[in-house]
Amino acid sequence: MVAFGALAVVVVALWRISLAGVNPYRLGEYGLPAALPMSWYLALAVCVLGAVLASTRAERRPLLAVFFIGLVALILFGTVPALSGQPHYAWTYKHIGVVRYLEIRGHVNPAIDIYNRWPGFFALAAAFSQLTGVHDPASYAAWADLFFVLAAAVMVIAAVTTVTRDRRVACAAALLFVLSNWVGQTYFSPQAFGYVLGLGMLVVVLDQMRTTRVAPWVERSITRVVRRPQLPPVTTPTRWPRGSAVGAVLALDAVVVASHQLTPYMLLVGIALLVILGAVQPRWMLAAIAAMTLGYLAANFHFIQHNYGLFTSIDPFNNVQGPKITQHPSAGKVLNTDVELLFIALVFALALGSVIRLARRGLLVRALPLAVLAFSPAAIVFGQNYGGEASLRVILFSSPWCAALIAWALFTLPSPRSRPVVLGLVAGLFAPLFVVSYLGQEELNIVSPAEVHAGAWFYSHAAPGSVLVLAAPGFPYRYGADYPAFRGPEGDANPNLMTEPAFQGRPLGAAQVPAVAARIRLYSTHGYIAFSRDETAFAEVFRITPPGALADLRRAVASSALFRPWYQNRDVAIYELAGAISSPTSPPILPAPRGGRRQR
Amino acid sequence: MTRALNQRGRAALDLALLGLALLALASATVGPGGAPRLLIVLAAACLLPGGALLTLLPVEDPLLGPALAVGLSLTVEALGTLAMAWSGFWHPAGWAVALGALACGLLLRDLARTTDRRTGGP
Repeated sequence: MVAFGALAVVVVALWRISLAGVNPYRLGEYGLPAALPMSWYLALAVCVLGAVLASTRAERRPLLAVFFIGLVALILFGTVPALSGQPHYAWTYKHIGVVRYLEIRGHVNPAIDIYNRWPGFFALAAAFSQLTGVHDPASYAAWADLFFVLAAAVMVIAAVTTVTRDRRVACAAALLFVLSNWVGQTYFSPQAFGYVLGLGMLVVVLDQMRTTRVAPWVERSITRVVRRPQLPPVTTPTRWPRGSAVGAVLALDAVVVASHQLTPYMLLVGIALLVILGAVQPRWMLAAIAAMTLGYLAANFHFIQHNYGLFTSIDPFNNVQGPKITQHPSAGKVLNTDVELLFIALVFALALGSVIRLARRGLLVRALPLAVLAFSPAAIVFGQNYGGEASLRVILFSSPWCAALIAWALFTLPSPRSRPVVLGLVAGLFAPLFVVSYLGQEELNIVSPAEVHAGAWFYSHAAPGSVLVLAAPGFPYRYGADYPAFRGPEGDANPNLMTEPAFQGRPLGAAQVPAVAARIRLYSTHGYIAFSRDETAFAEVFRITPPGALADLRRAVASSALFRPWYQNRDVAIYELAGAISSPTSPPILPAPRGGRRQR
Repeated sequence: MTRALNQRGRAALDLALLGLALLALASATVGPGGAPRLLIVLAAACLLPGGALLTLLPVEDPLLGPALAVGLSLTVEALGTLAMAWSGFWHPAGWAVALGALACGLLLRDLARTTDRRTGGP
């Protein structure tokens, strides 16, 4: 144990030292992986290898495997916060704004936005901020990815343990889950919170409510198709009182229902299938879950229908499409997309192959809950594209169970010696794909301290009733307790110029300045336009604008009589629409951004 | 086959959670702020109420314990904060104290029972 402790200290030290020379604010189009030194990859490789070896011996020493899986998660999900210190993803800051609003006001206002209508996560985070005395969640939200992934991994270990009764499979599943959770949905957000609680709910369902036999027609069908007798499910001998188990499930579901819009439906579909297949009971619990989920939606139906739409399309091919940002992305983004698609195909192909393998070994009835939960999230694509994120959410909700199926199939290999080798090969394949998929866009996701400062300044000093228009996505918007005082479009995004064809694919300058002013006036008589480092990176990496076009537009705005300078620091320049009501305090004009054009 | 904690392990867990409750109380009232306070309160928030509830429910494998403790803890806390946010009766400190007291009560009760079994058992 001392040796492993020493190894951990060495690996963590190696990891931290490897980050010393990395500048997270000057990344190229290939993102963070290209900037990380070999020592970082070495630290990751050692931890993955340790987790593989420890997982295959986890029957007796599961804590060692958990320890190494934790180190893998630390390196993968702790690198960005260790480098930058503030939350990545500009859209995280709108969640922080809601938390700060709740902490100060102490009550929700459903008229404001969707977050005030699904406040579970925000209310808990606001209470946490108050209890810890940390009134700006940005100071801890940077580490939310690591926290939520670790919490989810703990849930995966429990869920897989209860289904397989094999700690080796559970630990290997958790490792593969951490290595395949690349979709970036575990940041400081209601979906990450709902995801963890949803997994917790499934732990209780799988541990306490599984039946000893699935429905006879299911068993007959499987046996007929695979022509092998199937082993029955193994359930826990330590059952809770029925009321306690159902109460726990419904309480978990109640919080999920009030915290996130999509997660309850993912859970409902999965549990409904498990009940129909006879793998879980009682049936009336499903009715209670459905009633809570649909009842909450009914209470918010008009808001959702008016601002978002309940259904997008029944065409699954349409719904899996992501947002079409550009037709001509840079080589780095093409690589990202290709690797992500390869990763998705690999995980689902391995999961499908694992189902076949388990069926041939007579384990499919036993593994039925895992198979159902791995493939049921795809149901969402028959109704919603979820703002272009439906495919990401399918991957998110499938990944724990795909990982579990793959891990279980690996442990059915006849030769015990081959198991760590094959698990190592799979983990060794997943790790580089994860690094490119998850960290490959950090040049767009990492927010600099100057940008965070500008966001904080804006929401504490800008004129109430005004609108903030962004040159492009990438500014930490709605980052303040008073965010409801500002105007903008319905939904949860600030307007940005890159959605308009007039600003796409052409040089920008004085000719577009009236269109900028018109965009502001669309929402308010007074407002601001923000140019930032991240916004420029977004526009140029996705080749929405030619290199230097946004810098040219910024200069044109600065010299136009329509605008006046309002705020400036190293990475951000904000201009106020002239004729607007000026803010009461004099904002600082800090040194101008270095260089009009940046080469990436 | 059950791998449930034995009496000694269960008593140790109860004591550890009680220690965590005291540490969280101390750090939230008189301790320094910053990262230590944040981590202690986070650990208590994730483990304490759920861990205390699990003294009432059997858990077959210790690997399930942390997951159930985290899930139940966050659920109980979120139900309270949701009620406060909806009603406008916003008193997170009061809710934390109430939950902490309830959790400590359950843990002390379980500790007494496990100690009794150890000393008086067959």
